[in-house]
Amino acid sequence: MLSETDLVIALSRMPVRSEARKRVRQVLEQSIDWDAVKRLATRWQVEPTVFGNLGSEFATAIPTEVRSEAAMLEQLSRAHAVSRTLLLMELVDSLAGAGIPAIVLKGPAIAIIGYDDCSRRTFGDADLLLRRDDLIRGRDFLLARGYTAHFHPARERAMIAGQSALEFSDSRSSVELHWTLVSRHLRFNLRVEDLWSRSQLIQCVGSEMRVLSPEHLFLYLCAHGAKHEWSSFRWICDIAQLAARLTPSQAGKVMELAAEANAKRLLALALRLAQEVFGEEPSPFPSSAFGDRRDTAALVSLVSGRLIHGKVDKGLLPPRIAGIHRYMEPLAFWLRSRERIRDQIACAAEFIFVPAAGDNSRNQLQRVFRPIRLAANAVRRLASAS
Amino acid sequence: MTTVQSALPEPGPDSISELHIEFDGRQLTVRTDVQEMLEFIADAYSAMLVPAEIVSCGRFEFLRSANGYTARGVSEGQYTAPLHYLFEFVKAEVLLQFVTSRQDLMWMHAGGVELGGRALLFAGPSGNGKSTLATLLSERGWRFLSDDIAPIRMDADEVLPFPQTPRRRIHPGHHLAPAKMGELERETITLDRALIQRAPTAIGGIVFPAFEDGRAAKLTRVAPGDAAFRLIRDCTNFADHKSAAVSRSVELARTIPVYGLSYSNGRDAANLLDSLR
Repeated sequence: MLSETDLVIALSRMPVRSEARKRVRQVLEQSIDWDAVKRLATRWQVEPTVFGNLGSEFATAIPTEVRSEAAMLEQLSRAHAVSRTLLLMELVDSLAGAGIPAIVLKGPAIAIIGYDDCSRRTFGDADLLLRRDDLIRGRDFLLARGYTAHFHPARERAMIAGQSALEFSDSRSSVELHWTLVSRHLRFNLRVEDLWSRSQLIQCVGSEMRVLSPEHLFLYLCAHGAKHEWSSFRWICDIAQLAARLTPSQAGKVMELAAEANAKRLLALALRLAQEVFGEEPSPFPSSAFGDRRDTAALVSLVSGRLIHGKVDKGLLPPRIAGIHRYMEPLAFWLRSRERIRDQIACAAEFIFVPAAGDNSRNQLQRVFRPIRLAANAVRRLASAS
Repeated sequence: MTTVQSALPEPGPDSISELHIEFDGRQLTVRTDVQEMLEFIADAYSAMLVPAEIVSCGRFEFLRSANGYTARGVSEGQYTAPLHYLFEFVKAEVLLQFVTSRQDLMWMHAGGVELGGRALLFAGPSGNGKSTLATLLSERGWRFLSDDIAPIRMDADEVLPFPQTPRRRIHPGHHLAPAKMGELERETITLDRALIQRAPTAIGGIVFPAFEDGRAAKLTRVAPGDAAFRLIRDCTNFADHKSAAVSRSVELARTIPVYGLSYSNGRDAANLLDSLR
């Protein structure tokens, strides 16, 4: 592993682990490409922790100009994170004022629970969980505030039924409204009423923010990461940060939830990825939570190859098959992340037969047209590839 | 406005002179054997000079050496540059000494004025009119707190005066790109001592001025998220506080009215701000 990569990985944790400290000092004695460190920390979106740790813990071991730049980058990235958090809190408070309670799913929720400070983790889009009955009012509230919907009104009903997020944006922020954690076809169902009944209020920039329970949040992030092929280093970092803050009892509850949702492999994959990237750490999870190594080895190798070793073209599927549809690779990854054949078949079948957000959902014949269209496109692409 | 008599000592040939610059009851002693530097410091801090050191907060020396000058303060170095290039460096060193000695404060890149026991701060990067607005409002009866640096308490919404002598840019009177503002020549403004606020003052408002050529002066309320971003950005000793500075900025952004001010004519902008009284 390149020393710059090694350095960013070690510094991305908050606080820097004692085992990693020694390694960081060793790396800092070598010749460092500081531009590469800066680029990587920015690409991985871990500027607040990397530059904060550099300035706080290793200030005497880095050149003066690097120290100054690190301080500035930490300051700006933390300012940015706080600014986004305040913007989100203002929206959440306004929604609450309109009688629409919301759970903040990621962003500042992860920052506060996993990093103890909302400015220690940057975020982009805001993901809010509303009750299903509040979704339409939530949509109207955002539209009245000048947000633009990123979906056709005709597809809204199907999107809600399919548990897809409703996306909105204005000139300054993007907001996704959810009523469940992931889309229906992914077959990852945590009871929605439990998400609400176990949700918690935490302090955030001077007001209260409702977030998922630590156990639900952890498992949700396991699913979210797999859904997106763990394409962001920061998500793995989040898993390691949150795991370090769970008690064994909470970890046990996560395992129970994973068992109920038939998502034990999703949990195992997340834990193994964190272990692959950050090494062995004391864990609140028993070894059984990590599952059989063989079940997740290919996925762990794929993700670490892409993220850490730059093997971006690597995939689970042969290129010809992956080229059939842009969703083939993510779908294959998700299916491999699930332990039950039943869920894998149902997920694949739903992808093939159930009209997607982009289809005309009012036309019932879409259930016939969609597989035909997918098959025709597949044949065409295979033919053009050969 | 009247010229303030500085407490400039009478140096003998080749002798070392001392000046004492006071901030919040503590004095920084500056020692130099360079007459031009002595005069520069006496002018730059004329409203902050006191006759003697009572509670020291540090020492800064600027002395001639074989090849040029030696500076000893928070850092130490040899300098061969012409003296006039070193004036701003010395000002930065003096400020650094105060910041280092008072790390309990959040030192904002901001100017400020006071009226009726409330301070109005002008924050933001150089070249946006902090000094211009602070001095123009001083001409309208507001009392001067600072033109460039505002030390804010971490435990109260209060700013301490740092009334270094203001220096404002001379606008050429024709179209100017905002990026060029920072390159303009500056003039030193001498304020009557009665116009200088000496006591810590509750913060009543924060303004982020932005010079925009051809723009009529206009104040707009800044949302807390944007205000917090700018306050953190403009905190000069963020590294001393980090998470505490983040929390403090958020508190300020949520509890103090924060405005954006776009303007092209300093006097119009000052009139607009004066109407806030």
